[in-house]
Amino acid sequence: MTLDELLGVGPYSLPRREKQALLVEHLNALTAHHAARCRPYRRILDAYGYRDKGLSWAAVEEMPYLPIGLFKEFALKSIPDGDVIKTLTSSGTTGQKVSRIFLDKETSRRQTRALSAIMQDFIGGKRLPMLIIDTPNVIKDRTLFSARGAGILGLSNFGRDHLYVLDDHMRLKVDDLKKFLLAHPDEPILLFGFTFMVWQHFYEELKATSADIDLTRGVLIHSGGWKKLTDKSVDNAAFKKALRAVCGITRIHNFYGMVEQIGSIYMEGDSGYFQTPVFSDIIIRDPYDWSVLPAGREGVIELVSILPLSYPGHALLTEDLGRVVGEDDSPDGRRGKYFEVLGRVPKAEIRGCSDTYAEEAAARGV
Amino acid sequence: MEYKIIAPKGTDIDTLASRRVLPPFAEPVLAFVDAVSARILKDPRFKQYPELMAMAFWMRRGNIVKLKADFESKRGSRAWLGRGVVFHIAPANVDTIFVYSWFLSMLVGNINIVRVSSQADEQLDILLGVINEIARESTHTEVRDRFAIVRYEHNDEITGYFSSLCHTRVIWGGDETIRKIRAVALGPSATELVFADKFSFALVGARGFLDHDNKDRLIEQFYNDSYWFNQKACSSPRMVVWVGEESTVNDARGVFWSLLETLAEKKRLGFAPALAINKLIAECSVAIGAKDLVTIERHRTSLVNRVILQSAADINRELQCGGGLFYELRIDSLDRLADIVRDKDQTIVTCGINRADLADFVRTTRPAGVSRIVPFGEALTFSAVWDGYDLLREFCREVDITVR
Repeated sequence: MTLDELLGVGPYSLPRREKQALLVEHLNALTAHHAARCRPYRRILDAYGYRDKGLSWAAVEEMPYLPIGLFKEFALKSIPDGDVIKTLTSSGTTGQKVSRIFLDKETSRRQTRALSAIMQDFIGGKRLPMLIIDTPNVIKDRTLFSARGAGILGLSNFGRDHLYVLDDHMRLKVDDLKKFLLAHPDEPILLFGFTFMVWQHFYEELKATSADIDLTRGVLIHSGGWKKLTDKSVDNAAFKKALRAVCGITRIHNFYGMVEQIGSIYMEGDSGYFQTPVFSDIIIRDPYDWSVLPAGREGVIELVSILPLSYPGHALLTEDLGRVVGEDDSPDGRRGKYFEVLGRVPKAEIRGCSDTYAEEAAARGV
Repeated sequence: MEYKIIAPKGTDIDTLASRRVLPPFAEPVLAFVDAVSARILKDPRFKQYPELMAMAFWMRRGNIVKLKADFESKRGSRAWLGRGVVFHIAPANVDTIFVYSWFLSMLVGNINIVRVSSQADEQLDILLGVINEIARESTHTEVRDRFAIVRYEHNDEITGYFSSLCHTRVIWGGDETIRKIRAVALGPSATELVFADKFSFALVGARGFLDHDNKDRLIEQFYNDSYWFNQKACSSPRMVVWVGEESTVNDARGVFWSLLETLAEKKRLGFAPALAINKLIAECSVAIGAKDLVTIERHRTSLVNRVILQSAADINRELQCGGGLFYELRIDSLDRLADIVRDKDQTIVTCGINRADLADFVRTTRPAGVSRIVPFGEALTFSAVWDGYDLLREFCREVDITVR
């Protein structure tokens, strides 16, 4: 099956055997594709001796993967500079290196189609009136997308009559929000925002102002990680409960994904876990020896995706920890592995006679 | 200006700086050093820190007496005195360095101000607690009056204040720190010792290694050299240079790394998932950046990572993720080592090569770098001669008396 055919069969439709066979075929082809076009990638394959053995593997677990941090160190791309239509950067705090991901037209198209197949499965094929829980400032510079801006633009395609509900000072525009709801009285409403923004600038504002906002017909999609909320002891269950209490919203889906594999997002299904679509997969590895861990065991997350053509990001070792919960037997009928993310790999304690200045500055977050 | 004097309690910097130096190897100083050593060796809290135990061993009276004898034989009848106030800026992460630096300076009589890292560190706190306790005892007043351990976040004004007071400034801790601190003025006649970023490696005679009758012991020593500070001390080996023919080297390699990995699995010192990831990034970075093709040897575990280089030009001395990532190079004979050594190189730990050949190599090739060549197991052993400085001598000035 080609990718386009695959997109046609539904993102959660294939059982393990069929899915793995497809992934093996596509990923082997992608490895050869990038080996031929991306010199740094080829150098790595050569150093590990993979090219001498022929670039063909029988199982996804055996295939080479790149540590995601490499995208911070090198401009890895498999296309000529002239074909780059977008450069995505990961969100990093000031002073930190960020990943740069180069997209051409075709990869961008594939990502959009993949994302749309996933979204359709969750919210249907119709564009819904959409509230974006952010300020329009975040997408103003369209040449260099931040992860936040890219996420918003990507998701905007699934809505219409968009309203950015925060002003330039990150204040909730309650009156505009009320008008918007009056103007769309009978339809489901799509809401999108970053997890922390939703909490800080939407939930907390609604709670503080006790504005009468009814979003029982809303579907909230959010992403971005829980770190800042964990600091406030808010987990997914508490998040859902609180939002429901403040505006009646019940359909809330978190998703996991990263700028290095945009399009391949992992939506939270009814099981409460992230669901892998047909064109991507998750493997959990033991950092002690990088062996594959069985379902239930916690380890480092590797993500594979058959979408990236313009950069060698089809198999990436992330810096996140997670565990696979099950496969093909999710209660909502969606097939594929489902998993949870358990935070970042903790920073290594650095000891040694290296630079005191740099490290202390880093420790202070300067 | 905010700095905190963390030892001894109640010290005043201006009074301290106005005191006179003690004579070299004065008894009150020897007694203090000995007391600190004895406390560390006895206190069970220190057992978990092998590098502190090694330090306490180094400062035993027996060893200090040797230092003294060596110092006196070099001095002869000349008049050597401590320089006055020495300001030490210690590295953030090797807690023991500040003690070595301070004690050596104190042994020749100086008054010392030591800036330790502002990062919280349990090991450092225990050590400072012990130093405070001992300094409080009435027998140690002369020492107590002549040192201050201070803590502050890097700040040019405070560094400038201590720099203006001192006669010698000592900067440990890397190129970037040195560049920043050097921008802060020293008094016109003050001297300065700096310890820049270094690179250290192992030099192994393949035949000599294979013929050695206690390879387990050798590997354990190499393991300690490499893994004690998670391979992040400046003298931790980050490369193995093999000397010998290709087939001999290949045999030796097989034995060497398999013994090392087995030992590393048993000890599992400092294993961290983040380090395992950083090593993958580092080895891929080397593969991308190298001029010649490199070979990444895959290991059973994440405890050992190896990148075999074809050319010395591909040694990336800046990349130091630590945790057991080794470059490897092979040379046919020892004289080829001259192509490898750079001025950044500090310690060579070696086995399977005899002393005469090494001395001959140093004499004939006169390498720009390398300040120590030591046997396996001694990479981290501190020496009063460090990075080419004879520290006891550097901490002294000479009064030239020519009156007959």
